[in-house]
Parts: sequence; C-alpha cells; structure tokens
Amino acid sequence: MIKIKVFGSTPPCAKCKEVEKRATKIAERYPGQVEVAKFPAISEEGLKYSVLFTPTVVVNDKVIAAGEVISEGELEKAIQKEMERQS
Amino acid sequence: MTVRMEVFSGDPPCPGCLAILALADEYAKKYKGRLEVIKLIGEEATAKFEEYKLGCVPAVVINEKIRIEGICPSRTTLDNALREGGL
Repeated sequence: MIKIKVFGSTPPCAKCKEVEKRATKIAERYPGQVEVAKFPAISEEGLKYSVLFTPTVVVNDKVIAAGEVISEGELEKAIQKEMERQS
Repeated sequence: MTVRMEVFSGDPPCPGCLAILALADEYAKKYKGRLEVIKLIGEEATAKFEEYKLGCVPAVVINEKIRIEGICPSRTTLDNALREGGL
C-alpha cells in the first residue's frame, strides 16, 4: 500500500485543497493500492516530517513537495516509483 | 453603527493569509471606532469557519456575510466590500 499524506493549514487554503483533490483523484486510479490521508501541518504527524510549508506532500514517508501545488504528473510519477520499488 | 469584519487565516499561514492579516491591522487603525476587526486564526477559526460554510482561507466576512474567499483582496476590493457592508 502506498500512503500519501497531505499536510495543510487549518482551516485549509485553496492550494491545500487543490493538492488534496489531486491526491484523491490519483488514488482513485489505483484502487486498493494508494491511500490518502490529510493532516494539519501543525500536528504530531507534521513534526515527524518537519513540515515548514504548506501544502506538503509525503509519499511513503518521503517528502516530495513542500509549499507548492504539485502537478498530477509529478505526484503520479512518485507513486509509480514507489510501486516499482515495492515490487 | 460599527461594522464587524471577521478575517480568517490558516495556521500556518500561507502568503495570502499573511497579507490579509496585515491588511486587517491596517484597516483596524484606519477605521478605528467605526470598524470592529476580529482575526480568527487556525484552530480558533474552525467553529466560525464551519458556521459560515467557508471553503478555504483567507476569507473575510463582513456583518456575517461572506465577502472574500480564497484570496487576499486589493484595498479597492476590500473598500468596496466594506462600503457594501455599511461603512
């Protein structure tokens, strides 16, 4: 299972919402293989990854984007890379 | 009559939220006595954020009406919103 964690501000800004939307959309393309979870940037979970900017995206414990709206292509590429690594 | 302006910001704040908080301070001084400025940031904003059914921050609610959402407005836009709100 690939885990995508999206860290955003509380309440969310437009960029955080967009990243969450993109992550959810991509996860739907890989049913049962990709899971999306949303967390507040200022949280225990956020501290684990030293989240400084929002939105921050973590794929299987690797920070792949911080402070930017990652493109669907880039996010999907990171997911596929993880899938290859796991197989 | 005092006009009530509620300004919503995320925590951590995005650049738009930082800009709107600065604008809120500026307007609180500019219209002292005529404008009540309430800054709602992060967790403390959540209840009101949901009450107004806001979608994202930054946001401005004037006399309980949503006037700005998702962007930091220009001074002209905010002036117009305040005028419509009775200032």
